[in-house]
Amino acid sequence: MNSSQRKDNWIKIFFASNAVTSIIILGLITLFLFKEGIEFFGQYRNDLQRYRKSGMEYATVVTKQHDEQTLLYRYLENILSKETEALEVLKSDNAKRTEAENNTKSLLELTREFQDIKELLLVYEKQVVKWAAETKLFLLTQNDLIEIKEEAIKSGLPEEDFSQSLDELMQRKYFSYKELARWQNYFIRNQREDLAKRINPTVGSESGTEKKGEINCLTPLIQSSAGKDYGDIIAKQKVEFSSLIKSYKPSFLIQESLRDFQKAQAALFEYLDSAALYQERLSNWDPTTPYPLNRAFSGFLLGKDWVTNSARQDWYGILPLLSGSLLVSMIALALAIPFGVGSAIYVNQVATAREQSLIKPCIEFISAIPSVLIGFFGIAVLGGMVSLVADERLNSLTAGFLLALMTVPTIFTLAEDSLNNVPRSLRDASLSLGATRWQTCARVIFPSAITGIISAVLLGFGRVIGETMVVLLCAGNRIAIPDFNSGLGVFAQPVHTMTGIVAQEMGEVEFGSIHYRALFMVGIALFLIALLVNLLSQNIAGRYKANY
Amino acid sequence: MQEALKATSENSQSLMDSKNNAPSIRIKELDFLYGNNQVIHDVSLDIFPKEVMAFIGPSGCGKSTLLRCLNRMNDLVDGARIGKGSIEIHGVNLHHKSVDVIELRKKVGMVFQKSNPFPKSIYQNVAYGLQIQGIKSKQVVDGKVEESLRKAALWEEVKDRLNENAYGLSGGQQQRLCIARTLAVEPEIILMDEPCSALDPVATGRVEELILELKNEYTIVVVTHNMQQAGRISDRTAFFYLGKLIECDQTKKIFLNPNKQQTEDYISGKFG
Ligand SMILES: Nc1ncnc2c1ncn2[C@@H]1O[C@H](COP(=O)(O)OP(=O)(O)OP(=O)(O)O)[C@@H](O)[C@H]1O
Ligand SMILES: [Mg+2]
Repeated sequence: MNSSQRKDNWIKIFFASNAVTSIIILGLITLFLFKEGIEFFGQYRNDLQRYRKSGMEYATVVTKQHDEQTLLYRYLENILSKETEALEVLKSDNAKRTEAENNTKSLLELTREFQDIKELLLVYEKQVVKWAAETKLFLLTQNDLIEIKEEAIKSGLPEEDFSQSLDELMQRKYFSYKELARWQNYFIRNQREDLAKRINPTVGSESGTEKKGEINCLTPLIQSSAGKDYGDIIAKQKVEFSSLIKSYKPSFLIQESLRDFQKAQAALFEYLDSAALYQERLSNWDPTTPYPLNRAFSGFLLGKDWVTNSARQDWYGILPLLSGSLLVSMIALALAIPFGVGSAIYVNQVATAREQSLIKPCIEFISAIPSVLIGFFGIAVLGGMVSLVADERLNSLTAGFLLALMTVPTIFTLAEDSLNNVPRSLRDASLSLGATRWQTCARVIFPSAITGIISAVLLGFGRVIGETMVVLLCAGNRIAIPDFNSGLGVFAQPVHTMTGIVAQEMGEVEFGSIHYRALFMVGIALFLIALLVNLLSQNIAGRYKANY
Repeated sequence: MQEALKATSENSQSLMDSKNNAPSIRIKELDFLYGNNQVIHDVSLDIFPKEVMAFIGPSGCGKSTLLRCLNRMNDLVDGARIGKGSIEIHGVNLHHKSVDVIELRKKVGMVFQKSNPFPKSIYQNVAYGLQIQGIKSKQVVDGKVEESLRKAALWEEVKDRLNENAYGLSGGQQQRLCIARTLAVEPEIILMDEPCSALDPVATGRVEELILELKNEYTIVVVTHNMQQAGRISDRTAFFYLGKLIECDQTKKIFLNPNKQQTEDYISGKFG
């Protein structure tokens, strides 16, 4: 092998290794994302299992039921406040005044009594939530202790104080704070701070000082109370609610109130009928039934709530974030496509050379503006303008506008390229047949460039959905599925996005926790969307090249 | 030289007048410039109905430019303008403000050097010129498409694949498709800029036959570098050199017995 061949080989190896490195890095990123993310489902399932086992699931149903009653109460309160207002307007010498005063008084009494009856369930609900919270704490502690014990066995620590066997730990129905503190000391003595840290003899205490007493598993208590107490309360409420509403003689100052009252009455009867459903659900509640793994999958993919750091239960449903991201992207694209493609057509077909040399760099410069500055502009200027038409300054419209601004260069440049790639000869052919400039553009040039333009739009979409800073600053960051029923109002709702949530929460989550892994799953979802968009646009662009 | 030139064109004019024919196209003392670069110098030339006029001359002498002036395709070029003189078609000055370019181009069709069908079906390519005129009736369009393809001697080859993409045709077929596309808008004059330069001899032969066929109905101006071709298809030939019209006469005369030494040198291949 002579020296020039050897040199050739080295050059080949250099370039090949560059290509291979980037492929390997892409592979590693993918692998890392999936490795961190995929454990989420198991953890989430266990968490949901605890939610059931602790009785928190039960408590949540009771809460829901109480909320429904509260809603009914609000109806009455509303009527009351309207009536009181009307009463105040009445002149003191009006003959009707006394009668009206009496009516309002009896309405007030009705409202109060309603609240008293409602209170029965509220008291019960508070009790159950308290039990469930303590049980959940117990389950978490038990889970931790089992893990710590396994670790201690593995690393061969002496038994001494922490002599409980795994079986014993699993059978336990309570842990006293005293023993927890003792075990913590034991690990500290054995120089296992990492394990000691996981035992917390102060959890559940408000002051953070060491606590007396114990953490109990109270599920049996909830179960037994569900059998009797709950049934008693609901039966009692039912009797009292219906006799209360039947004994009330409605008589109001304003006509509207009567209609409102009838509505409230109908709603109450409807509720009383449906109360049986709650009862059925609760009597079927069984803390020992296992939570299936696919519920963890569907809970993530189809879950409508993203709730973290909640006292009761965290929910990791991606829908509010996904829909927020998509809404913002759609707004951005709806604005950026006409602007980007329109200016590409103008620059390519109409503009003089001078105009071209002015417009092109200007548009391309937009993409050089740091996104945090665009976010600044959104908060300071655009938000004010948007608030003229919407309730809030920062919402999907604000973010959509800014993202549109950021995508116009992407779409413009690529669309202009693909228009430029349409051979001049096609334009000449069309013009020589007597077509006007616009006919030529619409019927020959644009259709010939359409695949390129579509892939420009797709890449623009990829850019938008992956953009973080602007949505974090300007989308309003309210985690809720936008209400698509509200017509145009949907654009004025603040949303949160997939990128935004990762950027916002990743910094403060505990490494390895469910929340941490849930964020990774969101990242994976983003990754898949980006991958899909890219493949699609490459596919389309490839077809486009084959054309000429 | 100037005088000689005038003499030539008067010569041919009297010849045509004897046939009692007014010229279709009359180019009068035309100067044409790209920016400050004058590429056509004082050209006067008449082209008569239903004749085939060939433009010959060395590369860069302005043949394409002159051809493109005839349907104002040069309007698209920044800075392209007429210095002096005029072009008239049936006595109407092409560059007058009142002239509708769109109408002009329908009347003066053009076939390009490289075949340039649209990336559409064969049918769509031919129907294009009609559709942009707003003709919707399928019957009319269908009829016209068939007629044009027949005239372009392509019908038999493509009648079963009208809806296939035009890029599936061979080079020669594509060029004939472009001719059919031009015929569909019913032009009176057809301009062809080296229509066969990208074709093999067989395909070239077919296009030449086609031109001879079309001559019965259309006035044709064809630019060519191929002397034999000019001899085979044209009635008259104009020889250009450095933007000037050196000589224009009956093709036979130009080839056998040109008036100018330059013409003879070019035809005999001494330069160009
Ligand atoms: N669009 C244009 N802008 C500026 N100058 C041009 C343009 N098109 C042609 N020219 C110039 O005008 C002159 C004549 O060009 P033209 O294309 O008419 O020559 P031609 O005789 O057709 O040559 P060929 O036989 O090589 O096709 C050339 O010097 C050319 O550089
Ligand atoms: Mg040319």
